Amino acid sequence: MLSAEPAILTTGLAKSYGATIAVRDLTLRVERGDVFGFLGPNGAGKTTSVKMLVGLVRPSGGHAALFGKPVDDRRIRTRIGYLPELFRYQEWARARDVLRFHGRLIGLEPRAIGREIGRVLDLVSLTERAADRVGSFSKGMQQRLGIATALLGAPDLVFFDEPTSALDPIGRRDVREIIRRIKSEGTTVFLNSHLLTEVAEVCDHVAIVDKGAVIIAGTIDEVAGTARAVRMRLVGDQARIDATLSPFGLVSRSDDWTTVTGVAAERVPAVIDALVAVGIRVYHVEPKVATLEERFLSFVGETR
Amino acid sequence: MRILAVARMALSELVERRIVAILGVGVAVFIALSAWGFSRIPTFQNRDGTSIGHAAQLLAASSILTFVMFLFLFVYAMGVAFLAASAIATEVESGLALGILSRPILRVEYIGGKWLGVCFAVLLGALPSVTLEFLVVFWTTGYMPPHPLAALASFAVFGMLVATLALALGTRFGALASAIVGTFGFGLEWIAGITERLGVQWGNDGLANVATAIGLALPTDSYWRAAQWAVQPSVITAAFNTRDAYAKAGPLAGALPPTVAMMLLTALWFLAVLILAMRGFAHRDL
Repeated sequence: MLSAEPAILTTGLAKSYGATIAVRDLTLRVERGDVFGFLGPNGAGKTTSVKMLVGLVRPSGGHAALFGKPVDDRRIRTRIGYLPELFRYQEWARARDVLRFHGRLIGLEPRAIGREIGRVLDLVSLTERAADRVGSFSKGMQQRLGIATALLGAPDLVFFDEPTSALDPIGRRDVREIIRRIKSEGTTVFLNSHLLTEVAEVCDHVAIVDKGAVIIAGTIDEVAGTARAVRMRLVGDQARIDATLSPFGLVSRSDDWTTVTGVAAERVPAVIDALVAVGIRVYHVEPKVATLEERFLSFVGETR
Repeated sequence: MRILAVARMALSELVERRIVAILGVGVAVFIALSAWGFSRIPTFQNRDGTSIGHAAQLLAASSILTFVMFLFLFVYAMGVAFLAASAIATEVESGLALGILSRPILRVEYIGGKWLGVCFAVLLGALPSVTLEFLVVFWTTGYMPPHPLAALASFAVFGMLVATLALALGTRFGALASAIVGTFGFGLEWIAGITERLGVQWGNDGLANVATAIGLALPTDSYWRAAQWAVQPSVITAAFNTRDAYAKAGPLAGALPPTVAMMLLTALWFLAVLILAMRGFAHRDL
């Protein structure tokens, strides 16, 4: 029986390779049943962090626990699934043989293995290809097999490292569905992805990491929604527009559109009043909440 | 048992990749050709056209069998080294090991499973083919080695030594490098064995001791000698019944059985190499 400890808890987790610091100070808390998005630019230490959590890389410092147990306690790994970023499976083997092998590694009973293989293959729509060799699979199909392998034995916590990197839009939609489905069954999902729109769609909480440390963490709204903007189509003297808008925030221009970043939604009427007061004609107003991507870029940009 | 799951997967790979089938065909061709060669021995004649006689035929059969076994052993050692080196190194290099080792399997079990699988394959490759070769020689010439089981056991240990070295190297280095070093190790030990006997023959203790020390690092040559002893006629063994007589007979002459000390040392060698590999791999970041 697993305790009510958080699914993942890290404190000051660090990893260095000689003088190179891959992860500097990762402090993270992922609650059970959450879908947690782990974001960061290339080289931010995301994959190394995941590898430390699944026991493939030994931390240089700090502490990491899964469901209250240290990550090097192999018993806890019976309840964990992992899809590596560079997924690779035995090309000479048939899909069901790969899954059977992983079922044995997890310690599933022989009778349960067959049942589980059927369940996960159905989940990733690979049932028809169960008897085919992995070598004959497209990259997308191999990724589906990787997802099936990670979900074998109905783990309590699944780490997906770029789970849709090889998938087409339909495959991506299917993965989002799978994530929603396993979440509804109580599974915690740790999603490491570059696809911010995808993260925004399925995740409850996100953390943005850079240079091996968490920059910001919270709900999608907390992380993305704090920065707001207003986009407008204006006609009038440009210098007067800039002078009027600059006290409200950062002014930028693209084609006919003028955007003021850093304007909360409740201040938009005041912006319009100010423009009208100086004779600017306002044709279109579009209050805008920053996307996760914009927020991500602004955070990562600040640290570079 | 996770260790057995890994061993089973390693063996499945050999079957599914058709390595077993290809080796089977290769061995069949090798044995068929050697059968034809051995079948010519009873037709050997003296210069005057008379038969060389049964005793001479048996001696010729044993000598040629030893030579054929040496050729087989060289190819076998190379095959074993490449097979064993790739068992772990390839999975680490390709990223396949990431999915496996994130499971609740100890790295010790992973190495143990791979080692069992590779050793089983090594035995599967050596024992039936050497047994068949002995039977072919017996059917064609009437010669049966005096210690066939000891010969098989020596072949098995020889193969396991090369496999263990290559597999252990593969836990740290790439597959190709590990295979090359494994093959090189076997070759070095063969040369060391000859050098040791030259040292004894020439009364050069320093040379003999250095060669002995090199031989202890990988005792393959002792098991090649053991196989040679098991195959050679008892009359030759009797002629070299002391180590001095054996050594003085020259570096390529007949052999003596391995000593108990060598067998103990071999057991320790397996243990030490596997423990070192397991300890090193347990701390390796993947």
